Amino acid sequence: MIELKNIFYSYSANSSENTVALKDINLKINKGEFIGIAGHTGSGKTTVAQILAGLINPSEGEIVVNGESFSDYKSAARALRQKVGIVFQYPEHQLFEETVYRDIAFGPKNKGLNEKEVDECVRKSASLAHLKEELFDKSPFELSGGQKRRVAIAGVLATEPEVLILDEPAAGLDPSGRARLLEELRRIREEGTTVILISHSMEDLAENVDRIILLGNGEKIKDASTSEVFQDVQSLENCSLEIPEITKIIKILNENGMNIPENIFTVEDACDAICKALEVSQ
Amino acid sequence: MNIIEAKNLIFSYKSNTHEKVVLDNLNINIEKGSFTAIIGHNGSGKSTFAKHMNAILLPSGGSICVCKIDSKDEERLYELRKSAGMVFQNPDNQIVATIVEEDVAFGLENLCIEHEEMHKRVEEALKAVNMYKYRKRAPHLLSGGQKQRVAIAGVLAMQPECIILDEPTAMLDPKGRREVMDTILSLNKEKNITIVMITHYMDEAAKADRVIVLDKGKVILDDTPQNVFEKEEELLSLGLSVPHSTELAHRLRKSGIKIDRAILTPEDCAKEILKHKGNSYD
Repeated sequence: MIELKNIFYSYSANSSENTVALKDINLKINKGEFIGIAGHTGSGKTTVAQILAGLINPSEGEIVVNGESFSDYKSAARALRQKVGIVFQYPEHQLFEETVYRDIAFGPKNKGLNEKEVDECVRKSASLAHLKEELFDKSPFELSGGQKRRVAIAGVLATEPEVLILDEPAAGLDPSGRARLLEELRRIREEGTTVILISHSMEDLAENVDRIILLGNGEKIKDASTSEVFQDVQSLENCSLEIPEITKIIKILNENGMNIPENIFTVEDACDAICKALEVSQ
Repeated sequence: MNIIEAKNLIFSYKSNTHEKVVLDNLNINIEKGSFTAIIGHNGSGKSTFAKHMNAILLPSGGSICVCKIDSKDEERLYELRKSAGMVFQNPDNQIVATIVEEDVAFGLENLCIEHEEMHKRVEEALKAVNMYKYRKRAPHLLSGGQKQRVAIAGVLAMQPECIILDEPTAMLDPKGRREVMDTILSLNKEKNITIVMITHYMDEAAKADRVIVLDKGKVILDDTPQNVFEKEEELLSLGLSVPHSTELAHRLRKSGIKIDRAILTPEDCAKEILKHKGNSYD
């Protein structure tokens, strides 16, 4: 659906030298995927997200949207902006309207929908983001951190993007808030939206996404299925990332003569596999 | 000896319609040289309590003493803040100077410390957080973990008895988190600095000597990490979780695999599982 080909991005830190933030990035986003992007701070994750969302133009390279290659970045960005919604880090800082309802309604109103359509849109995205309608008349600033973040996500969903990009959406949330948010993302994806999750949490990626794009120092290090990426300890370490805790346990067990499949990432699956392995050996 | 003594500590604020009690009669003593983690869901009162330890907020009722100084004693406010330094979530909001060593010296300059002594303290502080070789760098060119360690060095240069950290790793990548956690542990174990750390990461709390669980401004659990994380169901009902290794151990136990001791790390978990494999060869 979206394709980046040989993308470079550089900015001038001062007048004499250029800093290259992205080097020769090639990637494809297919419809309906749940994709994770991981990498150390400064690896280029957010820059890639901003290019995909049509917020900044690359310095070099080709952007293809729905099979159409754009010769100028301006029209590519326009096409991307119609398709892609982005939730930035700490999105609750971007709430600005007097009520929750009006904040969510801002996007659809700007699209020129009539009042009834806007209303439908607001209710649908609020329910997708697990936001109760009784909060609609409250000021966003009276809400808890987790609620505020859901208002911000609902506001982006209300623009009905085909692709939803979230930059560290769970940072600063407590464990139950984090679990609820990830559940919402799974549901949004099931409804047909393509979801791209940028995260430092290897556990969150392992348990949710189908494919992971690893970035390091502005280059794509790896782009493969989740299980393949987490078995490649070397690449993860090169990117200053860690393997999930469950993977760590299974690795130690296998180094000590057990034989447990290494493509297991959830506690449930690990428990079953370990029980089975112990029974077999007895 | 207690570094921090909170007695019947109450903090509440009034909005136009009702009064909200954030800290509800807290009695907490923190012993010199200890490492305490405070966990709780968003809004449980953790950060409010942290701000009382540094006299950023003052009690509505009861009292809190830091190094025997009552936080309400305005004349000794600087003395109190020198004894209990604070590190916040976002490293970018805490760095003021354009060169690392100047940033670390900032607090000392305000205290009119002699030049030679200042030099010595800055050097020691930067060495303690493993950032000495970056002393001439510009802070904005550092990674998140490095910036956070510079912020810790700035507190350390004041030679505090106690350092309070409010979610110091929330915005860092896995490598940055590890660097900051290693720094905190070494300050506690090697320099005997009392640590109070607020965190949403259960695996970080598991590294403390003591875990305090707050809910609605009250202490719900206060024990060793082993004992606290044994109570998985209670923690889940409070919107918290346990480290993945602990969760796996609980599940294995429920499936009939004998695991005697409390499990906090992947290494421990693997070791206990391997004991069963050994048995099967008897």
